[in-house]
Amino acid sequence: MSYPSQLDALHARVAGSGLVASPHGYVLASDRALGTADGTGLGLGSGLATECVPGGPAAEFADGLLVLHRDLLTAAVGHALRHLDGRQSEGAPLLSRPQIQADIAEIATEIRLAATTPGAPDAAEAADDRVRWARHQRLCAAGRRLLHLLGASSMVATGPGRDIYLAELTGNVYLHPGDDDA
Amino acid sequence: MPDRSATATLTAPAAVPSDLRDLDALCREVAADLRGPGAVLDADPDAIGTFLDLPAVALQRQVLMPPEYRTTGTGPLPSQGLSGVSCVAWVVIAERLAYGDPGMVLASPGPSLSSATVRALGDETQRAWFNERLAAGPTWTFFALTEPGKGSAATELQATITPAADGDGWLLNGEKLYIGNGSRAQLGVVMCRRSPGPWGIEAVLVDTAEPGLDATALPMVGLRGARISRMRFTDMYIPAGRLLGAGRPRSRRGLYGARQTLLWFRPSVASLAIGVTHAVCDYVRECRPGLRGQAAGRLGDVVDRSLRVRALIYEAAAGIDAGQPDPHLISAAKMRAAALAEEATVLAAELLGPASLLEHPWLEKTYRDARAFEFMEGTGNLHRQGVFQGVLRGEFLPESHYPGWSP
Repeated sequence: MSYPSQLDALHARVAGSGLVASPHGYVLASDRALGTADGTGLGLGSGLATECVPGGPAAEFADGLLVLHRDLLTAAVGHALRHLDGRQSEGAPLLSRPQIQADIAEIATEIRLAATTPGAPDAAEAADDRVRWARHQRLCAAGRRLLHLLGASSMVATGPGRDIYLAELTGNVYLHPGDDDA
Repeated sequence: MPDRSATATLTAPAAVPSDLRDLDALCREVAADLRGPGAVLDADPDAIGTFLDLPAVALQRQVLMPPEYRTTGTGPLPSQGLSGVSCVAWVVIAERLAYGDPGMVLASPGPSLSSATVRALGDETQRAWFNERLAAGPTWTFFALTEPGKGSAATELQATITPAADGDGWLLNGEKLYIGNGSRAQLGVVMCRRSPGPWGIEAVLVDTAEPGLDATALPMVGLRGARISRMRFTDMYIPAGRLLGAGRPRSRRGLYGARQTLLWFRPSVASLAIGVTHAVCDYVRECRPGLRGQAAGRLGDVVDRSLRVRALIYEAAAGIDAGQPDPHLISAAKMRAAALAEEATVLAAELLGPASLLEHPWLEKTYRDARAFEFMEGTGNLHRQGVFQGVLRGEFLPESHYPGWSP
């Protein structure tokens, strides 16, 4: 299932027949769900919150986005292992190179940490918008690191580059904490 | 400015396994007394001798020993969770006491890593010899694996044991480097080679009072209390009975013992790093209670990740106690915890403003100390390899193919 379809499923879990809007009034869902023209060809459309569930259960949806992003990266690691094992350089698979192995280890550890649940009171203390944004940024960084391992193929829209981009875009819309540096 | 924070938010007992709550509470209480001695130890590592009566120091002597060798003269121990030697209990203790001061943890007398080797390989006589020495009074121990030029690659050791002239014992020769407490220890374990190949590695018990050892503390930038040392062994006589695991198959002796030892203690190194991370984050919060915006977000991010790493540590330690250690998980927890401790100190130095490392002596010391976790019990590079192997074998991440991408 593609990222837009996963996102639709998350909307449905959290808002039933409606769609969850971002804190700034935007809605992202599949073109099919929004009934929009396919502007980018990537399958994700945007709309205004006026036609959707106002506000919505934001925290649950936001946490769900992080889970989607994490699961997407988990799948992308498997894709990268197959890709790098099949690419040869100087007579050996790219996967045998220490730097590539170290990069994969770092990415995998980030994913594993994202899947870990700390103790409840501690988590409650930490789970504010900024911390959630930081988690998103770390997943973005891990995704970018992974895409670098895939070279030019990372830009092909039929590969993980598309879904990873869409996860970044969705997080930017729904998880950005705003500018409150005063 | 604050110099102790042992009851601050990040030491809340929320995530501690329920059977260890009493032990956790005790550690939180006694850790508060370690900040001052930690500073003293930084200036004079041998000052540890004046702090042996501190409850936190005495506690460490007890919990890594089998219950039958524990003494009551060093203060009460909670009974729950300590019916045996538990890795989960030890990681809880390590984190809480490191919140007080990691140097004091590492400088304290007690069984340390060598206890895991003795547990893994020792016969009844060898265990008794080791534990009775420890029970007799404050005793420092060491675990000597790392060598100059070879690092901690256990299969490439160059220190040797060769048959002694009496035809019974052994002669130990070689050099070990970066050995914690090596220059102050009374006994310990040395990993060495008896014959070529991985199964030629052995572990021997060493009494440092016997001739043939020259041990020197190295001048260190941080964690000075740990007395990280160079140890040179020259024809040191090792009685036959101190070759650990002599009656075991060769594949279950030296190399196996080294691996078991490192697996057992790596989670606690991660815990030391998390304890330091939390101490630093609490320190920043106390110094800058009005922290807001991006600065607060960055600090909160470090806290968030530290709590997740702590959950990994508990999971890893529980696997060890269950007899099913997950080396990939242990590696991930250790490398991430070490990196977090460094990141926390660097962030604190930034958030507390210009010259913060001059104006906050505790932070300055902790800034130096935190770097050591990266290389203790295996560097980050080694642990990245461990995680990668887990990914490759499908043991570290859940399998997932949902998007159905084309190559």
